[in-house]
Amino acid sequence: MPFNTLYFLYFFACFFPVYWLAKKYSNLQNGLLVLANMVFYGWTEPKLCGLIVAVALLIWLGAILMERLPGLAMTIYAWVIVLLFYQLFLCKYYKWFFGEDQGHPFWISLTTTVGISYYTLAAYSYITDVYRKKMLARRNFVALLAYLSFFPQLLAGPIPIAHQDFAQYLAQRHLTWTDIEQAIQRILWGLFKKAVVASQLAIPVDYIFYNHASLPYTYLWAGVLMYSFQVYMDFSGYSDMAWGLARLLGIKVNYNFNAPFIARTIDEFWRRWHLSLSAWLKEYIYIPLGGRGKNRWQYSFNIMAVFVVSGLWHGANSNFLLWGSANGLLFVLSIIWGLTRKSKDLSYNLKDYTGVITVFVAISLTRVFFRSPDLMTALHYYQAMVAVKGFVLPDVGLLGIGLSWFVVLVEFIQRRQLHAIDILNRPLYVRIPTYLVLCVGVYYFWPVINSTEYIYFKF
Amino acid sequence: MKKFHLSVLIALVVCACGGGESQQQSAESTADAQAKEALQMQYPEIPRDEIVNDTDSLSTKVFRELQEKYKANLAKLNEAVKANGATLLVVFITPEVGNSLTKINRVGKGMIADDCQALHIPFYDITTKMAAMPNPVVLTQMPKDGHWSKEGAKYVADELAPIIKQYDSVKATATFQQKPETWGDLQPNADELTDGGKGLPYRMKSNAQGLRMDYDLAPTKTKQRILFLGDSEMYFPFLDNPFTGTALLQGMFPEKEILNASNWGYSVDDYLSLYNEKAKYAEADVVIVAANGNDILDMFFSHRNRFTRGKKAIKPSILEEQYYKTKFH
Repeated sequence: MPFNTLYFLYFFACFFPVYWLAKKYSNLQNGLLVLANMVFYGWTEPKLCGLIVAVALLIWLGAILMERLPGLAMTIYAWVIVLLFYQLFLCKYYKWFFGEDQGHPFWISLTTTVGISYYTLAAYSYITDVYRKKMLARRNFVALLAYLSFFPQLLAGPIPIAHQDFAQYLAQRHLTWTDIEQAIQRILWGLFKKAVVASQLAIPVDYIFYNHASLPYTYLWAGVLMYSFQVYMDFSGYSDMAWGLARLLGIKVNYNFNAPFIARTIDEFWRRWHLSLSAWLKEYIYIPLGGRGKNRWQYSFNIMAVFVVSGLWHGANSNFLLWGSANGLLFVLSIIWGLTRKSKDLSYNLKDYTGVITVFVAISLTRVFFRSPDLMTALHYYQAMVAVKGFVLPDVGLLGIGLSWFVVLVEFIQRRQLHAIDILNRPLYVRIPTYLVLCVGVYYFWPVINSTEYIYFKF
Repeated sequence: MKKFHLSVLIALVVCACGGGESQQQSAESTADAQAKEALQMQYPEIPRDEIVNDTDSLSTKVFRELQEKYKANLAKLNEAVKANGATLLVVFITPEVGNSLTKINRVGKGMIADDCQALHIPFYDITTKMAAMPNPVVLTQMPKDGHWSKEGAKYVADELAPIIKQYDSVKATATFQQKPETWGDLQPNADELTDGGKGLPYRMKSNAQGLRMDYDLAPTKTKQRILFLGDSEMYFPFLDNPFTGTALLQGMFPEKEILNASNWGYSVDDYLSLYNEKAKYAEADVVIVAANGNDILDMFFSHRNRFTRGKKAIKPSILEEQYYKTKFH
């Protein structure tokens, strides 16, 4: 059930007051939350609920057994991980490994791509954190199921880190007027980015990528840059809405983005892009591999490993593998050339603006792999991009590009705040008109066809 | 001062009369739209292929009636084109071939050919060469859609070129001093990116005259004009303008102007009304109707009410109503 639909509005409007009526009883709230999660997740395919309950049961039992039988903890942990990733493998990678034409095991019909990559990582986080003794195994199955299937973040994250986030589901939740205002800010801004900006970009991007063989090279460059904006507006729009909705339910989910397109170096970009996945990869891949290690080579190897895993997480094909590797390579090159910078430095000079553009173009170029249906199409696209012949100014998607620049500009101006739309420190006479302008903007630019597809749903 | 008052009075009277007239037109148009909507509610569109697929006597009678309607409209169109000293041609054109060939296109071709023969309209079938091709599916957008692909549009243009060449010397006699702003039904100067819900994004541009072309036409004709009237097959959905069959023909015939007034869902009654209301003012020398078997079934009233460009509701004939109630109630 996508957020930008009337169904979701009705669903949330019914659930929200009931949820807060049970404010004093966190167990009851979790029960209601699980019920809502199942309605939300099973809206189109009820069998999906069975799968997520099965996964929750697996990690719940596994965690308790690991605590009760410490001598067997490693064996139990290994089995849980194998089972956990087996269903992810069946769903996402089986056909890639064994081909489309091979017979499929029965279990494959019970798996789904919807949300699986996200809640598998959430489940992995829980069982690993218990195994590493970063948190205790919880007896409260309903709380665990509420954590695993929490509907604002179920379909496309942000991905939780169990030892940091799970405690919220056991504690009493609160909601203040400030929380509500902050939540509404994010939902409005997210809706603007998704329903307005990303929608404006979707059609020209589809058009350029589909017709790349017959369009001038300048259109292909424009298509790549527009796609970069589209992915960001689509995914960060969803993440902002998820953050706001979770906040309205008294849960703080992780940030997913922090103005990535104002990054001046590659490492800074990845400190601003898909933060919850980066945090997960850091916690469970990068640090176990040794982090920065003893020398630059180990550091580079670990970075490459993280990006390859990230590519494979996005999808099972050579395109995602190459996309991950290309980004890893960019990161490694920036380390080798010393093009890195400290995270707290927020002052910009002329050289920095060149950096912003260079990083944006470099990151965007890797996305041809990400967007193309197969390797040959991606290679043809790259080939056509360098087939320079004359100059034709692209004349599609101008409104989308303009709106994207507007968003990036707001993010730049607001870069010292927690979020681009974080204006809580401003007086009411500034905030109210800002919200009104945003509402009018969303209403005015609302697309004729409201796209309820999200790019990151398929991962 | 008196003169000033008089002119104000005249202006007010003119405005009131004009306003009254436009209000009346608007009221009529609203009433027509409501009547059409009501009829569509009463008779939602039904699958029209059954009419030709079923062999019972009622279906046969209805089909014959549709065929007669088709022929009558074609005859009127021929008269209208002739009245302007232009020449009407009918070209049978469909991407259906082999297993995908529907019954209506199988039997419809012969019927349209017979109608043309009876009405002395030159008829050309450009599907025969395609049927002999080893893999004609490349001419379509299959599996996503059955309309022409780029290769298909090229095939159409290549097949049409020698036909058009035969009419090099044809010149229409009629000229019009007063002309409407548009000669086609598309939104003038449109430039839209769309995928039509099929995942086949394309860019549709129209010229100032509301025709699917990349350049505007001069009010006064300086070159021979070839006007195409057709349904979606000739509109070439899912292709950018430069790849449509008519644009390719334009490239082959720079000494002519190739006008494309085709549109989704149109049939012969639409061609007739479009020609009379707008397209004839293009003063085309040759008018080519792109026909296929569906055009006959398209005459069924419930389909017409959904797709026709006409604003008035099309009521069912006695036979059509009988058929509708027997088969679908």
